[in-house]
Amino acid sequence: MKQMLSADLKSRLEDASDSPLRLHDPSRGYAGVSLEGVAEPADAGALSRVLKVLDEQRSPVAILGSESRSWLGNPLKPTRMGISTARLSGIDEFDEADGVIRVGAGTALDKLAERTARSGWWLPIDSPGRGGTVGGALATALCGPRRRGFGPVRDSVLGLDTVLAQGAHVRCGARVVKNVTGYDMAKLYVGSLGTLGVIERAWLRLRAAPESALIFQASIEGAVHAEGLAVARRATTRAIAVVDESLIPFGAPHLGRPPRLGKRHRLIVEFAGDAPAVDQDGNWVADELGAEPAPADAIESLRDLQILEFPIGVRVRFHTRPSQAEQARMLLERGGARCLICPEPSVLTAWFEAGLDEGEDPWWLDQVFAVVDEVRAASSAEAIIEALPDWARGRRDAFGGSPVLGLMRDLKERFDPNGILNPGRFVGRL
Amino acid sequence: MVNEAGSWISQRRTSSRSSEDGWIEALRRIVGPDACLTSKAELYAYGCDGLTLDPHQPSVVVLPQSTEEVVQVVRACRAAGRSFLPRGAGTGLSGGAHPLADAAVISCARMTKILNLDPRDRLATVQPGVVNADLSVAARAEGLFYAPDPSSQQACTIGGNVAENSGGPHTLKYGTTTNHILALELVLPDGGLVQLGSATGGATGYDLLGACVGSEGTTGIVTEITVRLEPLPEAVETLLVVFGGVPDACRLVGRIIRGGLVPAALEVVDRRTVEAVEASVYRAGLPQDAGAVLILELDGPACALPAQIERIRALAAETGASEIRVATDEAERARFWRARKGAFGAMGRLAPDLYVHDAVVPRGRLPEILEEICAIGDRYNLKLSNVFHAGDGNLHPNISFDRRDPEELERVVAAGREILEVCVAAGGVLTGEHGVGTEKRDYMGMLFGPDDLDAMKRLRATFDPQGVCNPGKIIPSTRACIESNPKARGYDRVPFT
Amino acid sequence: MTLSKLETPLSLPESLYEGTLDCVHCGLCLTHCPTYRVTGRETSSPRGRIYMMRGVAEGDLLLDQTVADELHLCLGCRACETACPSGVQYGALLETGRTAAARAGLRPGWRHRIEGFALRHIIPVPRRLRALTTFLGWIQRLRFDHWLAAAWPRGLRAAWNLLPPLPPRADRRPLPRFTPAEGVRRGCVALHEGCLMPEIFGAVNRATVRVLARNGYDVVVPEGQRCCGALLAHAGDLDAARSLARENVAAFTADASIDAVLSNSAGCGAALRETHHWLPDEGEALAKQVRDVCEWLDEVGIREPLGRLSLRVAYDDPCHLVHGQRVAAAPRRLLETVPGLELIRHSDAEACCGAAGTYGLLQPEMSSQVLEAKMQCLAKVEPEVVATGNPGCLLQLRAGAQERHLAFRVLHPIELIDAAHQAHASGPA
Repeated sequence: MKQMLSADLKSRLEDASDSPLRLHDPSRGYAGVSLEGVAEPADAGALSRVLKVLDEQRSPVAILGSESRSWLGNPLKPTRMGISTARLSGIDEFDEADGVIRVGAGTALDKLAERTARSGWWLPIDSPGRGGTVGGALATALCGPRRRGFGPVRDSVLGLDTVLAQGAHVRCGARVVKNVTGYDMAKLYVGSLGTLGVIERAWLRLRAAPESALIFQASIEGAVHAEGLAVARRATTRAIAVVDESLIPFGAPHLGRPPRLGKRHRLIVEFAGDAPAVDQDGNWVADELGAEPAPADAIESLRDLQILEFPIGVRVRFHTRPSQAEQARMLLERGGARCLICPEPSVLTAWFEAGLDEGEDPWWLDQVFAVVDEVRAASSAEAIIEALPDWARGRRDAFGGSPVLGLMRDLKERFDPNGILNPGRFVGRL
Repeated sequence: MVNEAGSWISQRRTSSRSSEDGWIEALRRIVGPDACLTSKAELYAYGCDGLTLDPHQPSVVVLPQSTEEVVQVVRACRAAGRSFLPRGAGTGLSGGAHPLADAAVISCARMTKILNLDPRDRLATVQPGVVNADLSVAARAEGLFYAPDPSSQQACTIGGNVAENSGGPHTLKYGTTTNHILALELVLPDGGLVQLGSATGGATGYDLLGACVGSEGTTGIVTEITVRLEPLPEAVETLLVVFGGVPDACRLVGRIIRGGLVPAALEVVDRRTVEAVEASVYRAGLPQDAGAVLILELDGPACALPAQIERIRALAAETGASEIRVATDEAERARFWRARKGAFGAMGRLAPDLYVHDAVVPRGRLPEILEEICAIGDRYNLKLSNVFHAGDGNLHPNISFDRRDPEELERVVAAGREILEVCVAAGGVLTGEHGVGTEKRDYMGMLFGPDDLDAMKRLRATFDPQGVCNPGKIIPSTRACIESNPKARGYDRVPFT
Repeated sequence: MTLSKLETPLSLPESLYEGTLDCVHCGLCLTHCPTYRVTGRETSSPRGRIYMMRGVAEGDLLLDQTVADELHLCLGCRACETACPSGVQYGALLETGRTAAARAGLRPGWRHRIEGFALRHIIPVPRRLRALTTFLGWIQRLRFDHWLAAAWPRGLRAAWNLLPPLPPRADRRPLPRFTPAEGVRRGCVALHEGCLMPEIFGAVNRATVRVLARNGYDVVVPEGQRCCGALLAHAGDLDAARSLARENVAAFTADASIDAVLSNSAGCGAALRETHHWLPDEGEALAKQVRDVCEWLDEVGIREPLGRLSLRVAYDDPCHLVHGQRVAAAPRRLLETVPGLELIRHSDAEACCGAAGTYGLLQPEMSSQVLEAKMQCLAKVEPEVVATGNPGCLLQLRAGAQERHLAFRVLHPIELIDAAHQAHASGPA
């Protein structure tokens, strides 16, 4: 029998957040649980009060943004409450002269990007899929095809306001672009899936909009990764991906253009920077690979493709070194996977799709895991399982563990002694 | 090899052994007698780093050569209940590499091997004692370079850079040390050995690597470092833009940033610094009658640079530059940079001591803040000069003084504090690349409240629960924090140790 | 208590203390210091030594054996001066520091005693030095050394190995007091012939005179000139060095028609150029006139045609030329004027070879390690000739090459210029 949220807790939470609890759509689960109520604090103070109440009650809580990345990580341990950052949104300060911006965690990425672009600045956060909030992008630290140009998410975070599990409102970093004042605490929260503290707002570093940007695509075959790497290492490459043609109709139909005969892979590249340099690289890729212009939304299409889920399938992300990526690709393709490859830094996303008769066959899943383990061992790669069929969720740590799990557990206990923040979702079920 | 070198030391040291305890004996057995310094004269040089204000001699200095030796040294220190700290070349400027208590200094100066340099993956794995410039020289043969280039790069070590998260002129475009570290091998303060991060850049779990970079040697002893290397740019242009005063130069910096140009470096040098440098071995023919010189470097594809130079010429004309000089060849370019990087040392010509200050402010506010800082220098009647990474908003107001004059020293400290207050009030921070160390530890309260510092303590305790690794650095004692942060005074009723 | 009394007999001179204050502890010198690079010990770095001297001067540290030993472990190569942005006069500090240590009686050890005796009583007295050279030459020729070697201590054996085959007496004859210019006369220069040069490198001295004469200079070798005193000063005997310097001032400044005083030994040149450090007023005139012979030829220009020398030459900077006199480009430019001569670069050309005057004899272990690094750099580029303009370096590099069976010859740059002149004279240009 499911125990309902006690009326007492409910009212204390509503007092703390100064607003009624929102009901979570019962038809939509969240990371393997169904939430009974979601608090929507409007500022750091309210967030702090809500967390204090929950921590006193030892009540686990899920941290929600737009819920667009709930596929990442392990299923939550039983959790009935959620905290949404929806009302912690908006731009506090936008220093257009300096190219830095302070925004609330609940701010929608697309709207923010649109706003900064109007002033000549790019938001260098390139999260896979669509939608998403700043807080979610930082907490997941996922990268899209533009990682080549933008760098990892952590590089764009200058300062954070977070609220820890016991309600402490903690600041780290600042608005300036260079800073070594004390420990680099922001690094801890970025990519920690909300398990150390709730990101409340952030100072972000923006990038100057380039003078020119061009996108090309080409069909390639053979030493796929090597060719991709050569393109990735051009001076103005901002986004790059090599995609299995057969994924495009499912994940990125906008890319259009039928596959070329005998070529299994398509390379999509975006050059950005000073016009002469972009033109130079464009000419080069046209000459070398016979590339032709791609649709303007090709990069968005690639982002969509990154989160493609087959009805019954497994999606795994591998991080490897460039010198070992080709081998990883071949092992994966031999193992029945289809890949999207970002050559530098080398990230391979691999899709395994179950046939009809394989349905809910654990044997099939074991085979997939065997391929994953083989790739991991052969190319010393990290493997993160991003999507599993429902019946298989939680069979294995999505992050594949860590050699320093002991330190991480210790860290988690110091920041969240009662383990209430997103319990179970992170590496090693932290 | 080194053991033979030191044989002369061991010969003459034997007599003084009787007075030392078993702890030193144990260290000596681990690293060899010549790699274990104990006499006062030998330890004297280790009493301070680039910050000479507050020297403290260590109880012993050991010079291990391998990870295994470091592990054993740490365990021996723990067994004896002693604290310890790592040290590279001792060029740091915040007192990070000298002990406060009678700690043992673990010097990485003999761990100087480049273990692997891989042009395919554009990374290198090095021991912590590898000199920053040596790594770039080695990488150059492969068409690569190591981007963070602190002014002390000809002497400072990669290990020290990791501890301080060092910057340098070229961090404007390329980022600081933390953006270039892929993995670390770390000897934890309990003697355990861990690998943080991954050469793939995709390590799972908490970013402990990111938290360790810049932790000023308080999270353990780094024994191997895997760094990302950058490809050498196709073309480089270095420009000198001459101005009547520092604020004008800063205005051009603001225009460049706002205009979306991303130079590799934007450095401002004021008149007093130019004079000192031009009197030194690093003279480069900088104009000595100018109020300020902006050293501006552009790099990237050759075809893109002419247009960038034209844009900069136009912006410079608008901001009142009196002259623009473009370096004609590699030799002249190298001279400009040698002059810039020799600037701190050259200030030694003005007075026996130099306080190299370090603070960061929002770039848009550079002109007004520079004016305020100069006014502070005048008010305290101090020889203050400015040479700084303008593109990052990273100021280095340098104060030349003579520490033998206690009254002047007092003024130096007071002015330094006031400068920080001005910077923090403008949204800036206490240090951009030198670190907190002991120098700014007691100012941390200007920027951080008790909860903020408490979170830092939690991180530190994760690595070093007993607080034995470089104790006394970064985090202020409770009292110092309250005293330096008026806003925090109300918190003194709340315990937050 | 009595011990500490013994160890603090005096404070350091005021000039030394003032000199240490120029150092702001930036540390840029560290990696330029050969002994720091070998040991990794900051105690054995320029900054460490300066800080130690400052500590002694401020009464924070005793001037004890450890301090003295550190001062003597320094090669005195002065590479740190070239790296020092704040212009610390390290060489001068070192000499003063060593002198203070010597006065404090902190200078034991048989090596130093032999050195002290030789420096004071043999090397500056040409008659005695000549007799010693003749004696050692006999030992070499009769191959007694091979018999004796087994019985010698290791350090002495290393020192003996440094000694090249000594030239027969005929090659050690003194230079003519005056050699007239050939062709159109351009001027008159005086040559400081040095103390060891005539005995071991008489051929270099004669080549120097030939090249200068060919290029239109009268060469005088003034009588009354003495050893430059550099080795004495480095050993901490400034008083003896001063008296030699006084004699040199008298000998070289008597003749007003001299355009320059030339030296082909970097160590002597550096000392003569800094005569005013030892003799503040009277030394000024001489100091201003001194040039290295390569620097001079580069400045006035080679006039006579040079024949072809098809050689791969690596130029290795003597410390007292590049750091002591700040002459680095001139010898290279000079060598590049020789047709067919390929000047190749090796890494760390400016680093010390470990010879450093008498250092190789006093600190053989450290010296050999510093040399090892140099040899590795040279071996990598496979030169046919290594050119360097200082007797100590010539000896050290020759011994190093021989020991490692490396194929290159080690010559003074002036010998190459002389050979090029002769190649022109004997064959078609």
